[in-house]
Amino acid sequence: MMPDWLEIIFKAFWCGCAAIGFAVLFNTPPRALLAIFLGGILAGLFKFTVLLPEVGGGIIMASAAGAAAIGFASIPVSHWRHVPPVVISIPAVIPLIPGSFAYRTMLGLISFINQTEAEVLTATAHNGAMTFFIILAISLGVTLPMLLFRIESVKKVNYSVPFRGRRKIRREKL
Amino acid sequence: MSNEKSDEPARLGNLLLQTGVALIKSGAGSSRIITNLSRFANAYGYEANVDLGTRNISISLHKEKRGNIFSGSRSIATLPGANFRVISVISRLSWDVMEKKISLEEYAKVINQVPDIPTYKRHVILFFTGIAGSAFCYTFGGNAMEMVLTFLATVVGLFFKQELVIKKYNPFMITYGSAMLASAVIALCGKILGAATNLDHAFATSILFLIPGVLLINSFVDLMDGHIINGIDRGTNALMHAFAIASGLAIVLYIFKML
Repeated sequence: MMPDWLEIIFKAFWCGCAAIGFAVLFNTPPRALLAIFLGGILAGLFKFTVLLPEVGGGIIMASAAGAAAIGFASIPVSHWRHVPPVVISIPAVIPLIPGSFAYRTMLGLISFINQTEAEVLTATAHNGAMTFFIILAISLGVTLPMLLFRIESVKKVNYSVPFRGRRKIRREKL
Repeated sequence: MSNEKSDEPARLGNLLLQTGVALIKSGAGSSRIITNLSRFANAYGYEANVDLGTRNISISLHKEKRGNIFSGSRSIATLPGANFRVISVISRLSWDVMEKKISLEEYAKVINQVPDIPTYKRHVILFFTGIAGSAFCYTFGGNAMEMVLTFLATVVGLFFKQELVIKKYNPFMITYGSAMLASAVIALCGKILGAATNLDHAFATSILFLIPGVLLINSFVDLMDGHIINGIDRGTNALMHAFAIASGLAIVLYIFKML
């Protein structure tokens, strides 16, 4: 049995791999791929840490935390890689998408054709609600910096300053 | 010279429409499209009013204190996909226009190159998406064998999907067919390996490359930004893809008597 922290790192690594895969599928510029890989790892670290029984955040909180981490990280990183933040954040949050809940919702709906027990319905409704709220949490998390700082353009965000020291920020295209 | 000045709004308007269409096709969110287009228009001293759907765009340009000087609209034949290279190029271009004040000719040159923006080579896409599939399988708790099977199923399913996309099938039929094929690969491998093997994780993750992630996230982002109609539009589109995946999977599970 692996210790918890090692398992988190393994899962985070594979989240990064999933993020890269989807980045390639979405034809992301090659210069953003490394950032997306790191973003996927960051999302995985946050998600699986919050999911630990010691933290006890639950899957919705965990997904929101992972997505918010990416939302905030994507702004300085998009400066670094010269791409808009969505190009980094969307592939990086894809590993958080609740595939297994969605899968069980679909199968539940299909099995409801033959099995009319109330348990099938409640289980399916539960899975469906979880899918919905996790996706809501992900998109909220990703847009959180935009909502908090009322950002029109990431070039005007102040917290990118620490990443370049207090030197004059080079005006770069995003 | 005066002639060039007077047809500037029409040229700018047409370029903006082209830009908008390119952004819609590559899966940008509604606010992002409107922000980008306004940025372009402001840089040349105009104000753009954009009416945006998920398959159509109308732009009216006007200058302060003067009436409408350009209106135009475009409709798009296909449902939007995802191409982040196009979004990056246009975002970069909008900053060039704003800060370096590049001319309309240069703007037109970049926009006309958008259809030629390269994509990754097909085998690269297949390989990395396969890796993504097995990565999902691991995070869902699958073992090494399931990861290999998921890789195989994803590659086969995606290859089939690309073939159907080239032949311009209906997008939901493409999703349905690819889901069916990908899960059939897992089911066949399950039959070969014997009944003792449990491939639940492989089934759940072999179809994840079809999940319309960009649509789902854009749908909620649009709703949050107040583009309710576009949000519902994208959400319904994503839901139909999800149902196509579910039906493809259900058929296979039914045929292989696993449901």
